[in-house]
Amino acid sequence: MSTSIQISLFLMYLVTIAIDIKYIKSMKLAEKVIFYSMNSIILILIGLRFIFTEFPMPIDFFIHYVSPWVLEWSRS
Amino acid sequence: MDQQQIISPRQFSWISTVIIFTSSQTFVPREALYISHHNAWFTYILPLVYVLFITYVFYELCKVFPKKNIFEISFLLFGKFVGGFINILMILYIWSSFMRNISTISVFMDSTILILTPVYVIGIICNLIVQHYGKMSIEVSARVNELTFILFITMAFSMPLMLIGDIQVQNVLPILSHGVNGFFKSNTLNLGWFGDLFILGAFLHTLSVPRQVHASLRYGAINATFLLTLIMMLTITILGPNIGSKAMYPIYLLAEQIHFTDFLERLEIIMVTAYTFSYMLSMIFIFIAGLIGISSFTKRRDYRIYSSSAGWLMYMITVLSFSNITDLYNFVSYSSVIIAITIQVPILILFWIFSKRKKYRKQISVKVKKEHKYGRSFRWMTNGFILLSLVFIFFGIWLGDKIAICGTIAGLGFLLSLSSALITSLLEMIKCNKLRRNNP
Repeated sequence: MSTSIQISLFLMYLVTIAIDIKYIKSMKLAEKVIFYSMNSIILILIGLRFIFTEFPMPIDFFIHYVSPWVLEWSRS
Repeated sequence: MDQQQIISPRQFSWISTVIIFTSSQTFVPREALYISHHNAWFTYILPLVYVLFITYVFYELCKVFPKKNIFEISFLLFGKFVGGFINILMILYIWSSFMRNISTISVFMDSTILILTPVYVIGIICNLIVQHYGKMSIEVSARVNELTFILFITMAFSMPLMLIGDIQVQNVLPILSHGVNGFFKSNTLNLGWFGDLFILGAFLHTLSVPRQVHASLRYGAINATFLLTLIMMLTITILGPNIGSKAMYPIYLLAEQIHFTDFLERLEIIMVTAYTFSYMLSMIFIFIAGLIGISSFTKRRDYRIYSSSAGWLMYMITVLSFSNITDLYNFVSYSSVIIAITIQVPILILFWIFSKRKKYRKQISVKVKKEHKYGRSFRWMTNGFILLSLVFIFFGIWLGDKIAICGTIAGLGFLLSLSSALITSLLEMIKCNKLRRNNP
């Protein structure tokens, strides 16, 4: 992903979240916790993506271990 | 947003058709063709049986807990902690389906019609649409689906007519001559995609009559199976099993074969547009199901507040998860079945066993018990026809490699049984639609 696309995506993210700020007042505490947690994870992922090109994700387990096993079974 | 959301049984059945059909049509036909060759058109029958099991469990849950979705039922059946853990598992399953679908459609569009557009940009466009619909009620998406579904189903059913000149029936012969191995394996691989119907558990609260939930889900699933079988037969008879198993997107290649006149050369663009609409809607339903799951933890059905955050979170995880098309293809084709079996089956069995407890069975109203008999004859006829189609398949597998005519009889019998099951399930849904019209 080129830097220009990354920057425009980040700006798009900021705009959409800014629109959602109006909902925060009406949220219960649990809802606020969920909302802030999700946005914190997004920001962490954006930061990590900016520093490293690739890093392990939970889905890698399925791609590198489960899928080859099922492939071998289906072709046997 | 209204706490009470209502959609009609017809809309519910169309949602289930769209979810199963669009999910199963991008990469999977290729794998089924590789394993089963010219017998790949039998690859959807065992997944259909599995889906009927899902619909049965949903029906049992709806009888005990009407107007509740699967997340609320989970809290009621298992309590705050175990129920919460099961809900997290279901949300993870839904998000994995969403990631898989958004990556698949982005890659599909990037390599077919939007060749010069970067795949990330296609992904973000899809994501913004999904986020937009995530801020609306499920009723809105169901109505939009009602509009696009007509275009989509007309296209799908008219394909045999549009391609009639290219059909070579000898491509499917000899029928069922490859034994049970290929049949079983290709059917198993499709289980994961058909298991996407599990997601509709998040919308159980939108229909108040349990019989209508059952009838509409069954019809939707059988309709999708019939359409998929039809498209697979066309792929085999027109492209042949060899080209079909090597092409990245057999359905797109099939649409490219349509040539009416010199003026209607690029008809596949219109067909892909109709398909993309339905695919987008299927993603929207999956996304809303995930949002309903999150909002169940706060006991408020207003899920709009999470739409943008969840959409962006999913987008980021999707971008980081699939670094290339090979990873995506491997995950889509082989891991879906394992994820579906390990998450769905234990959860469904637990729900079914717990809902059978005496204290819950006492809650079932007399009205619901009476309604169980409604459309029973059609229900049993549908079950009978599906069983008959299985009998035909096993008869063909048993004798097809020794006596070719037995395979042909089995193939024709299977097609007739599946068509009859489609008709009887439609009649069942029409009959159940009349329930509680005057006395809600």
